[in-house]
Amino acid sequence: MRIPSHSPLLPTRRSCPLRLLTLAAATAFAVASLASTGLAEEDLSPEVQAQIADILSIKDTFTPAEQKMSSNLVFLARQARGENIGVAAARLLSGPVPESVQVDVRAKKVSGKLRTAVTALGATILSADKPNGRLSVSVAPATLTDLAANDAVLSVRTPGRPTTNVGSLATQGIIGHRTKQATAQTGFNGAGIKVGVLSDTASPTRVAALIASGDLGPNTIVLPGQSGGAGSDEGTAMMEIVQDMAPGAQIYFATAFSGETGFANNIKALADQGCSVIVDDVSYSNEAAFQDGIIAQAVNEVTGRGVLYFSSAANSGNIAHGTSGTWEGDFSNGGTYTTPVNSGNTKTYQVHRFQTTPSAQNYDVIKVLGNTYFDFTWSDPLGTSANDYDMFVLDTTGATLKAFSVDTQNGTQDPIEEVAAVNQGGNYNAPAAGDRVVFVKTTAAAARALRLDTNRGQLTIATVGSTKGHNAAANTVSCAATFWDSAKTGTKAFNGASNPCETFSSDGPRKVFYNPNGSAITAGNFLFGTGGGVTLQKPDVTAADGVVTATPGFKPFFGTSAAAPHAAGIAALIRSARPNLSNGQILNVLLNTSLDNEAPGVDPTGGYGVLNAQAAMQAVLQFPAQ
Amino acid sequence: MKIHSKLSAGLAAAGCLVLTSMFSPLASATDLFDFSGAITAGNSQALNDRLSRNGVQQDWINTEAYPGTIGSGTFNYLTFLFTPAQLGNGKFVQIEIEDPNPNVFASAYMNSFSSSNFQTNWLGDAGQSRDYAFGSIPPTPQDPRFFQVIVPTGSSLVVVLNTSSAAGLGEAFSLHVENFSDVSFSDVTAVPEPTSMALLGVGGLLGVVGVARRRRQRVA
Repeated sequence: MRIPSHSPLLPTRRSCPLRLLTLAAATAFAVASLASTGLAEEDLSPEVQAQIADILSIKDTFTPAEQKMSSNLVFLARQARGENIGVAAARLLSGPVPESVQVDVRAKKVSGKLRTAVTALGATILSADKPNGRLSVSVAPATLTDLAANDAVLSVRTPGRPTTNVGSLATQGIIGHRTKQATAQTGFNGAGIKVGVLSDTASPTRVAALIASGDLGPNTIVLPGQSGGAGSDEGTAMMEIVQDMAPGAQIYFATAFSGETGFANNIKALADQGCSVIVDDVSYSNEAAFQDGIIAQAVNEVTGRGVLYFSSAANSGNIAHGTSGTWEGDFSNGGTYTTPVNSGNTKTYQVHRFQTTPSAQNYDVIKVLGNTYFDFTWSDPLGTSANDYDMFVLDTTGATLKAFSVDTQNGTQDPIEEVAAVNQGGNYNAPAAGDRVVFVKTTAAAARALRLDTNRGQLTIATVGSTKGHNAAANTVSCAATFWDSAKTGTKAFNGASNPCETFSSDGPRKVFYNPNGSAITAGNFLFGTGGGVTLQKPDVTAADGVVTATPGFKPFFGTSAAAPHAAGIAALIRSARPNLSNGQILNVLLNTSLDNEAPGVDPTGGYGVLNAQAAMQAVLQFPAQ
Repeated sequence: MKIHSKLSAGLAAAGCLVLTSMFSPLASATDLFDFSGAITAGNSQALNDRLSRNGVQQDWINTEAYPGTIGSGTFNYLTFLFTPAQLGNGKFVQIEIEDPNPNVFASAYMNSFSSSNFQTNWLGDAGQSRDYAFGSIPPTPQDPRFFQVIVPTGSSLVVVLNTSSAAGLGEAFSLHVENFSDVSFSDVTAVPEPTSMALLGVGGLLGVVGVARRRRQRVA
């Protein structure tokens, strides 16, 4: 899986005079007194306490419009207008203000009136999703608050960051998964089945070349305007795999890199084209973990129409192989801090305790730095979070603040905080292994299930539960990855026992606390410890990666991005043999004919095991033909 | 199933290297050869140059162009020879090398390898040393590196393993060579007769015993 070379968070930049407060002015801070209870020794230095309190005191001044915004956008807007952002933030946010930023707008209704108001600010509407009330907008920072102030606007947020979990050539997976035997023995090769693929890009040039070489069928279709533009062509590498596994299938493509709204729309568009199997390899960093967001809801819609939906589990590691960059657990009170602020008042907040044994620790440590953005979410419903949590990042000694995210949650916001490196549009200075992550909440905020995602990093205190969002949704067949030669015996059929998952393959399970409409699954119970919500077995299956493709840059093609299209191809074979089977019947066959890998039985790393197309086809042929 | 090689002590004393396969039935009609060992001062020849590691692995659509050499240096190499009879109709060859360290490099040649002209008969190479280390969590080598070459009909295949630094001497690695009759990994249909051991002179060219003894067996 590749991180795209383009990013909505790489705005144009120019120098702009700013009214900066120098570091010397920071000495005007009142040094905090340690008026706290239950404090773990040296967790937060007095200086850091003061800086946290200063930032939280600025947060207290957020206007109603600013309370609808991601906190980094609030500070950016204030910088652009020369307004007060406090000493601590000024020290961190010392770079130039960009000319424009791309933001996701959620609105009560995407009306003509709203559109007019947006463009009147000088902003550009990049895409719109009327059914879900969303806009993607490019706007000057100085007008962000005006945008948020519009009565029709519910939130103005930093967009999620998409990643993609990577002559004629054939994937080794056709041998590994016994697909070649399956098609040879049964005569079914996916003919009559349309398979939709979503990834970053599938350029017309590359698609044409692959059709010419025979790596893609002559009837391959990229939805008009949905090739994704210039990019890595990871989409074509996925399409090749599907075609290799199901030579008779017709392959469709639409980009998933047009924002979450665009992604959701294209899932539905592929279903509208008749794709009865759809696969993607994309994750958006801010997809909710505890509730289906708009992408997962799109999956729900199309699976409700009979589409089988596959996705990569993601490449963010797992506990079994010691590579997890995820922490999930319930809030644990690590102490209450009351810290003086410059206004003469005090700021009180509670710190989450990540660990009690072997020693109390109110922070987690970035053991390995992956992508330089971290996401913190908790078990409140989307759009109505009323429990205010915040995230701070400290240096390796805990003495210096390096980043913060202090979005407001007072009843109408999403339960998410995100810090990102400066070059990703955030305020995280010099990200480094060893940095510490701290969660705080107001004393009034209820205890909730919490989740830290380091996006392909590693944590010293880590848990299972790496896969999330639509990649791990109830109606998604979530795919882990095993190297095609994981048994180290050459191009052979998988046997499961010799085929461990890749060390980077994201594990499950996936806990969900809310239905897609925001209603609680278990009313009043939103904690892991009390058995709240429902636990989904994810990933579902394991499939091959590290395979050869004809697409440059994907030689070989690693990641759960490569695994998912193998699974989709097998599903296409099954559909072509027995088109009358329901999703449930097909899924049953896939799971029960899989070859157990990783821990015995169903496990959170490899799911039910490595897919076995030959056994699956033999099983489906027991069903009567229509 | 790996077949581990061992050196014959008597012949080694003569400066030659004979591979004796610990022979057991191979699991697939496509397996050509397995080797686990190391390039040592005793089983290899000296090189004063080596192929550049350009990061591009060869495949059956000839993605990789000849990478050139680095110009000079002190290295060691050994080779494995597969005759046309041993290859049969399986000219689509895939070579896998497992080595978590970056000091042994694999390449393939047609008919012969010349240590004075690396470009002659070059078919392809692995592009890099060391197992694949995909992802940043952490970048630990874990999956055997592989590359693919097409051997023209009637030609032999020579697989060359060379050190890329002094640390490569004695560095353990495993090599697996398999061949297919087409790009879709179809079995090789011709099964040549078993050959006897091939004794070699100084030059490091090894004829591999027993590799032709394959069962007519489809890949499991």
